[in-house]
Amino acid sequence: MRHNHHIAVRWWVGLALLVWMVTAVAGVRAATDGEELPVVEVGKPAPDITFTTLDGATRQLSEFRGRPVMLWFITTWCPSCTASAQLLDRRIGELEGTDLMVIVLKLYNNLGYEGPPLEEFITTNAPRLRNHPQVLWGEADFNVSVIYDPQGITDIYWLIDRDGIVWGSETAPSATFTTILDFAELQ
Amino acid sequence: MVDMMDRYRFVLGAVFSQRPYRLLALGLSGAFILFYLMALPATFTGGRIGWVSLQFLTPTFAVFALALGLLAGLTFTLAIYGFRAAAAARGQGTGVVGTVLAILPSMVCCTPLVPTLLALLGASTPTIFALTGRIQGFFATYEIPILTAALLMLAYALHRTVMRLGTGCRFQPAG
Repeated sequence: MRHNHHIAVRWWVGLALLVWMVTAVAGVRAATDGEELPVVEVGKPAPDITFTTLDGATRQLSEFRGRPVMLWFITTWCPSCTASAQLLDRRIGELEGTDLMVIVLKLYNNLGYEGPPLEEFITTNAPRLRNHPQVLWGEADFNVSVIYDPQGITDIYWLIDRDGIVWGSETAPSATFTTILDFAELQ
Repeated sequence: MVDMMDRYRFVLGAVFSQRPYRLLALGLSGAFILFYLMALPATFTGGRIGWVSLQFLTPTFAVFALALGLLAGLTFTLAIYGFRAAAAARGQGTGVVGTVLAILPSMVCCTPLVPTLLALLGASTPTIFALTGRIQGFFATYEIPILTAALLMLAYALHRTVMRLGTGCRFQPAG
């Protein structure tokens, strides 16, 4: 009797796992309309993306070809993003001698947790960067977020060289600012 | 109340009258304080612990690190004493939970831990994008209450350990 109960429990657990996996696969396909999204790889061309800036303009990553780019994905509730924005605001002067373009995009749906609006985040943490010529703020849609951050890691950034080739990626500029500086000076 | 104070005086006096336990408490508390001083601000460094996180130490985190480290050091010292004196140190589980709970906000928030776990569990991308923020955002928002809960758990663990060790004649000095 007890043995049968155990078998039944295993069946239900197995069935639940199967449903979970099928839903997972179906979920990502439905969300991306079944289209194959490009994969970002170090040493390969950075997939081109379109994003909306804070001022409502539509821009493309490929517009910045010819300049090194830091493509940074944030959420407005994350303490690490806050610390990183504050640090970048303090040390932006060190990047001014370089060609680096910093594109900061808020991840799709703020990764599912409500935080302050992007404008408020900037005003509070990085006011000098709001209209800085080397910094562009915007929002990433679902596909852009999935392409450059499939795992949904907040405070992640990609470094892309002048030729549009992915140079590398890191997290938390607050802790890795020297990597950004080295990359900008190298280019 | 008087009985409780007596037990505290009795247990702490008995344990810390011995030099090895004084040194153990000092060493453990120092190690825990240093660990918390570096671990708590890791919430600002994407989970990186070390000199880099120490630079983001705030007065609030410093106070929590001191309190948590001291309580953890004392609790574990008394627990070790209890085990050696063959008096089971109750509350030890609570102490361990409190110690771990204290570092959860800095380890869970803004690190790849949650999204990686969700991916390992087979969560779909939309699920990851919805759940990651909810879990990490919760820990980010309620960081101070979580640290306070950890502090209370450690204090409770210490209290239980002292009460157990000071239970009447069963208390046997351990050398």
